Amino acid sequence: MRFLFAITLLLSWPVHASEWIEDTLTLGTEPRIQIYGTHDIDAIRPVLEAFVAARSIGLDYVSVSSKDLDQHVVQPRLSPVDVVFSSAVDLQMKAVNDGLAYSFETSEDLQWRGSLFQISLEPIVSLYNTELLPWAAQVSDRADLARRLRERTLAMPQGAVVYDPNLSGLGYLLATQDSEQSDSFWSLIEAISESGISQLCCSSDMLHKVQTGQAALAYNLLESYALERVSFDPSVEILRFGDYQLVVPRTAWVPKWSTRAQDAFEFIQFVRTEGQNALPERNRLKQLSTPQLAPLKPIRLSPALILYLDSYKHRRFMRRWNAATRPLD
Amino acid sequence: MSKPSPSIRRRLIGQLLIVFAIFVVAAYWVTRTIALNNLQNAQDQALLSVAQVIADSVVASPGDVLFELPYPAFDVLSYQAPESIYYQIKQGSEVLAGYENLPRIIGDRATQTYIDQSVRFVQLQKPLTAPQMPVTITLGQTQDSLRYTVNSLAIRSALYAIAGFLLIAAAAYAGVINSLLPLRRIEKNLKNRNPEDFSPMTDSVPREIETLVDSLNQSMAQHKALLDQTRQLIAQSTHQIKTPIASLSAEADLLLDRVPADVRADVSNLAVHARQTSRLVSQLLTHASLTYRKGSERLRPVDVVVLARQVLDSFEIVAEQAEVELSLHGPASLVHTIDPIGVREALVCLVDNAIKYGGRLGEVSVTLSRETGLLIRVEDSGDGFKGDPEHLTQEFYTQHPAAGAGLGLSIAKQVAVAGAGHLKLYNSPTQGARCDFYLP
Repeated sequence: MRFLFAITLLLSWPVHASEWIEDTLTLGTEPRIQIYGTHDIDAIRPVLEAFVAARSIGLDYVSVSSKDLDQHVVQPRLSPVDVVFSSAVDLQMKAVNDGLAYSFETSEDLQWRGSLFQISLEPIVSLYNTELLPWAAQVSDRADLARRLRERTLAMPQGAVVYDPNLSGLGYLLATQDSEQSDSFWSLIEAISESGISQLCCSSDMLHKVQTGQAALAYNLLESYALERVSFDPSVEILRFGDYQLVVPRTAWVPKWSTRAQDAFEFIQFVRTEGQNALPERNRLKQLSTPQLAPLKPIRLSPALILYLDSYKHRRFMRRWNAATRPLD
Repeated sequence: MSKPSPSIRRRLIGQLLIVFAIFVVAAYWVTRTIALNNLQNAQDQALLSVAQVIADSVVASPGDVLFELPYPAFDVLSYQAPESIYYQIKQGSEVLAGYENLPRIIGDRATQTYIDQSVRFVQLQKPLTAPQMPVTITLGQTQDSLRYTVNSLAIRSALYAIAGFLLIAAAAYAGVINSLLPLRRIEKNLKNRNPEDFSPMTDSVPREIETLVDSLNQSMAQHKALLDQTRQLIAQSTHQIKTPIASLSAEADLLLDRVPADVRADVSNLAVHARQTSRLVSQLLTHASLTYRKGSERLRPVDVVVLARQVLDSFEIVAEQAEVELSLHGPASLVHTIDPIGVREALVCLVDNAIKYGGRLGEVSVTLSRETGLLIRVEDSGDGFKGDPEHLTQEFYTQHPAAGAGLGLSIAKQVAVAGAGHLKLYNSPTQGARCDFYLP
């Protein structure tokens, strides 16, 4: 199978297995289920603690990046692993589509084939610098922003920052979903590029640039990160486009090679039900049925997600992306 | 009677059960096949149309082949059913996109096992201008929900079949019970019929059993004719035979006094034989007329004491000659519903036997009593029965060949049995033979 990350896997194989592990958390007594996730420990800890308290099942939580999770846990079928928990819904879907996941009897919503379960939601927003873009509050949608920039009725000093889809799996997922969602995406990217665009690997860098005034706009950020900044920095503000707001689902599945599949399923069920209360309100699954400021566009659990992981489609997308973001000579 | 063949009801149920099983299995498989075909076709069409979209997008430029992997089209597939999707775009032996190791597909569609699941594959070829090799598009989708739907449809259809069949079976069962009713009616008619009633059955019956009823009526008519003939014969015989034989016997007795001494012994023998013949004929005719007597004349309430007294009176002379004392015991009056002619004949036979075999200077007593029915006990003071007394009730069996024909006890038993009673012969614990004639 010619998928992109199989190649990067070989290039970035770490010398020591532990190098790709960001952090670990141990709760409860042995035998503990092994959960590998992309969630920061601080953000997920209340849910994990609630589970251990309610079900008396101990757990080890290992925090990993989504790419490392795929390369070091899923593809080599690392054992023991009982739950794979990630926001990279495309990689998650690929793993399940390829038959790596346990299938449970269930007819609930927000799951796929009894194998891939939505756990929480991550709404996507943009962040702008209030001094550099004082008019941003008036922008109604992406097409509107693109038109304003193209017609040069308003300027965007310092340009914008985006995830580098070459480096960030999330950035790539968001860019491809945007491109499927709306025709105005490419004109927006081209319009932003004319004002100057920097592609960065990580959200912290993007946030930093907007806060310090090195960029006027950070396009496509997890709302959780953005809100954190807004709460103590008045120089930045959240921008929600009125046409749609992408929502990335965090999903979980149980590897077929798990030896504690029932306990693992119990964990997933817990987080989907009682555990929701331990999450910030904006991340709860029921937000999908709650009216929002902008129409939510949750990324659906669909095997179509695997298409953009295909190196052929990746190549063609990046060609288009690079053409759109090429700096003007 | 021949052993009855299995009941119609049971046979019907057995046959219904077999048909039932075939019916349900057929419903399951037919539905399954049809549903699988239809749904399989629908899935094939959906997959083929997506493959066609890809094929249509193929553009060949020198040294390169371009095509689209349409996200929305794949999304539509997943809207129809949450199934895994596998795809491959290939030119010659070079895989341009998708899964490397899909199973080989012969033809344009096939079900194959891939990653331990049943996967439906379709395949399209997009020819390109030479020397470019054609592009092969293979698209596969798992079939879990399809198979689930097919199974549940088939099971539902089988359940409908079961429900429908139960209704039909109930109707058929009721039908059989209903159509057996005329037979029941005939059975009841025959059972309740007076034995002398040979009139044809006139109930309206279904055409199917009309022949049966006709045959029964015919058989009854024949029976009646035969019975009438027999009765006539017996009536005539009684009159025609009894009289000459009685006079033969009387004349032999008269002759005995008048013949010379040298032939007296022969004539004496003749007289004895004539008497025996007379008795035999008389008993035979009694037996026959009891058998063929008209049933309608049989039962009526009778004072048995009066009847017994008359019988004993008729034996007065015989008893005197044999020097036997006769006595009657019991209540002053005992009214019971009996066949008076039969009972009289039976009592005659029993008393006759008792006098004959009780021995000279003996006693014969008749005791009447009412227990659950009517009991007439005839006792003598003789030597009692020798051997098994039950033999005595068989026709022409006698312990004293010289004395009688052996029909007496047989007649008595016949009368008892005809009245649903019995005749018991045994030796009394004190002395002599005892006959218990019982009628309910």
